[in-house]
Amino acid sequence: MRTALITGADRGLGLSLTLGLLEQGWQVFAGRFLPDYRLLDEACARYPLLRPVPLDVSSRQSILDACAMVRQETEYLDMIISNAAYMGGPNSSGFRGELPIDYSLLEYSFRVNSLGALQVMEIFLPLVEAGEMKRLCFVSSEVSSVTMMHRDAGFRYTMTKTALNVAARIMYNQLFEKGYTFRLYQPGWMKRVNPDGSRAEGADIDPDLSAGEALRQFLEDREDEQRLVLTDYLGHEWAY
Amino acid sequence: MDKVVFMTGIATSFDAELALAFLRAGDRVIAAGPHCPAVPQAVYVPFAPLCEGAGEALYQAVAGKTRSLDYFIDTSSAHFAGEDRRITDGLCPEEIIQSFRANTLAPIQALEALLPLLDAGTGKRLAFISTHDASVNWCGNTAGYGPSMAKAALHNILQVIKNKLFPDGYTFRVYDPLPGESRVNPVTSAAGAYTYITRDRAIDGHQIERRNDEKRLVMRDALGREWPW
Repeated sequence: MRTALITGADRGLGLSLTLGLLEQGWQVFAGRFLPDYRLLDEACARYPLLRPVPLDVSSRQSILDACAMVRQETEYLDMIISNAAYMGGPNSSGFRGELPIDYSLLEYSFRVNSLGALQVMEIFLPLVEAGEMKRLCFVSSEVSSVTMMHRDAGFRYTMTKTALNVAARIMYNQLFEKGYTFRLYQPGWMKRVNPDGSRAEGADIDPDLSAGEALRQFLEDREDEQRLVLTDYLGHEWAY
Repeated sequence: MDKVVFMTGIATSFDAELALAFLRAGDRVIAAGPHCPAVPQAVYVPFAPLCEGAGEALYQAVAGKTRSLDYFIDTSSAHFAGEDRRITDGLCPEEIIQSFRANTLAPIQALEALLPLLDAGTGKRLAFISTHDASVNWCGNTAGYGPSMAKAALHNILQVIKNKLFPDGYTFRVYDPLPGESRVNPVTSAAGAYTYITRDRAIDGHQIERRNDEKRLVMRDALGREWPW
């Protein structure tokens, strides 16, 4: 049986990825963080292989606790999908903006989106080492691209994804020759999922649609696995 | 000549040589942080980044020395123990955070604080000492997460800031001094940085809008090479 860990699985892309893998017969350890969202609990009734796990990726102790919980049920993982992200907060990360830059929020965003993803991979890596597939997937963003960056404000989220990309590169440099393969995915601007599962207005893409393409890319082997590339929900390749 | 340069610190031999290059040209150098014995001519101001009121305190300290700044040069290159750890060695997350604070947040806070003085200057050039180890395209390391992630984050921020400030006349330089490269030493690398920072980049006089190299944010190294992000 294939097994995966997905972080940030309470809603949106993380939940859609979780349900997509369950539909394909995977066992999924789904990181939960948002107390207002019970969608994972509702899914448990339909999917006996779903295992929600409390997981705050900004806390090393929380990641260690989650890993201990997962180890009680499995001796290996085939795939990790790092999806958890902090995107909210006030508009306080731009020059000449209405608000001064909030440096504590910049650090928190880095702790979640960059360092959190790195620590999840580090702490769960022995389980992946024991698995067959050895696939490490990162949900990144088009705004991680320094080359393509068009924004002139709001760098709190964007900077963390560039940091995440280079962390993935360093991991790749060590682990690819040991049989690990990597995915960097740009999911597009997705509709926000409300606590009752409905979709908020705005945005372009339903998370289910992006998750479908993500899983195709995450699960299919490539002939050019040696290339660490950022690909989007249309299958296009992005410049870093 | 007669420009006023702010440096976020003079900590390494490269930093000192770069400061001396500006001083030899007749410019004034104001630097944050501890006094560097090799550069006694510089004016030093305190800066305790990320502390309460740090930006305002830096602004007041520098404004007490000059009415305007022409060059802002970020020399942040803080290193911490444990940076040689690979992901299988057990990472030091708090040291990665320390690197992010020192190499990303601190220079951005200094720049935010000093922007009014740079607005009042005529140079409007913002330079950042970085490394190709932060290039997602090029990094070949298996360790060094902290500094690479910190500088990669900085590169992203710089592109955002460039988009904001370029219309106001600001131009940008990102420079890799290539420490450890056999073909350069701190003196020659600093000489390269001085030239790169002070020299304007090409603007085609016939097609100013279409062919203005200053529009591009690029990283060049001490050998003159341009690195991908």
